[in-house]
Amino acid sequence: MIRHHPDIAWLTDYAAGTLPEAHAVAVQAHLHFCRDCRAQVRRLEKLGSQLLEQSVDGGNTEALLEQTLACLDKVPAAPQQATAPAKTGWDFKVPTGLSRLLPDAPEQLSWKALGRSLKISRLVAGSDKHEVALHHIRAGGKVARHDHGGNELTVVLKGSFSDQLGQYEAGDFIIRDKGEAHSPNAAEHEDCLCLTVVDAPVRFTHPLLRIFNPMLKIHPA
Amino acid sequence: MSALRKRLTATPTPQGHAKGQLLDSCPLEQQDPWNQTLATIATGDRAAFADLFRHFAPRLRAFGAATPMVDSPSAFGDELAQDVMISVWQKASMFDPGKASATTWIFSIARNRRIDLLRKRNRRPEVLMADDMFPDMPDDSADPFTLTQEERLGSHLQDMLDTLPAEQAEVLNHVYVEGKTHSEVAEELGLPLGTVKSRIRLALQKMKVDIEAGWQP
Ligand SMILES: [Zn+2]
Repeated sequence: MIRHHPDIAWLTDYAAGTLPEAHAVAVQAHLHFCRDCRAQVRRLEKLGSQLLEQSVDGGNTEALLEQTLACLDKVPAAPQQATAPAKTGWDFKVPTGLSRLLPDAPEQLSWKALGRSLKISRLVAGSDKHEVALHHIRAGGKVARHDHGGNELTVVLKGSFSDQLGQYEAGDFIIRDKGEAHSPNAAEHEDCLCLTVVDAPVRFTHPLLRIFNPMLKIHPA
Repeated sequence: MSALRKRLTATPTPQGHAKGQLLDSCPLEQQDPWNQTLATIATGDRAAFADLFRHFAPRLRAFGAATPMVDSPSAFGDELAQDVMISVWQKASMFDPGKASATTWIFSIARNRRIDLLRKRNRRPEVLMADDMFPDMPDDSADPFTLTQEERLGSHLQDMLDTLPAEQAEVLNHVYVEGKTHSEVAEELGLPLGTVKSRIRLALQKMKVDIEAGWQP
């Protein structure tokens, strides 16, 4: 059962189209799992339509209409399918927004092991402000206690994990603010896969903290 | 049309109403006169397209021109209006009034096209397109609870918008029409982020858009 949702401010920014791409993909991944938030987004879009209805300029649009009608002959009858094809090589149903960023199967990604329990694969999301990655925690695995130099957003895609603050399952949307240290722990019976979005740029300079840098270093891509 | 037909098929719900009656009691879909126009446009009717254009183009143009940080707002307004209307022409046959009203559907196209046009203008990499971030959501309308919630919102939204305190209407406009995040609005108005968030939340609660009170953010 999903217990952690994006709050109404997140959903409003999503429905209004103001979120950076990396954050919109994370919210969409949550919506993929959560019917309540989908209903909320539908209402927020309905509100958007009413605000559009109210915003009107008094100018004449006849010239623009003529121009547009002339264009109609040149455009194809139906636009090509815009969303990425479904990714079937994964052992969970990939949310539509994320599927643009994933190859057909997990083996095609390059994974970087960080200790025995955690491996990370960075995704190319076209963002210069955020790093988007998949985090894979082995069943029963513990991730060393670490801090976040920037805000970290996590959506559980498969399996579950827990940390000092709670337990999280598929669909849960979790925000860890800068400075909230934690040590995630995957459930015993199943590997856990998460989508993470971290603010850039972040770098630890303290010698004792440098060992965490491989995990925290930001590579916007 | 299949989703609409499905909803019109009378099936008893826990409330003892047939779904068909529920739809009739507060039918936003039927009250949006543009639903029918879109169906006509889907047959290739240019006169219907012109009708729709004359209503929506001035709105889409204002929506585009309100976008911050574009060098020529009025040119961007024209570009967006034309682009959205051409998309409407191309996609009219995909419009499903069982999922959203015509006006809501057109809003979502405008939102998506604005994102993509701005990305192109700013020469940012086109990895994620708006249609990836806003895919068609599954049709949850078969669920009586969802349907009831939708009906409750109904067509009163416009009236309720008019009764909002100016400061709440203002922030909603900044977010939706100008396309600014909560944080950007806070910065522009010189208000703490918490104040902007609570103004929006109050407005949404008043209008019964935000009705999920049970869960923690
Ligand atoms: Zn949710």
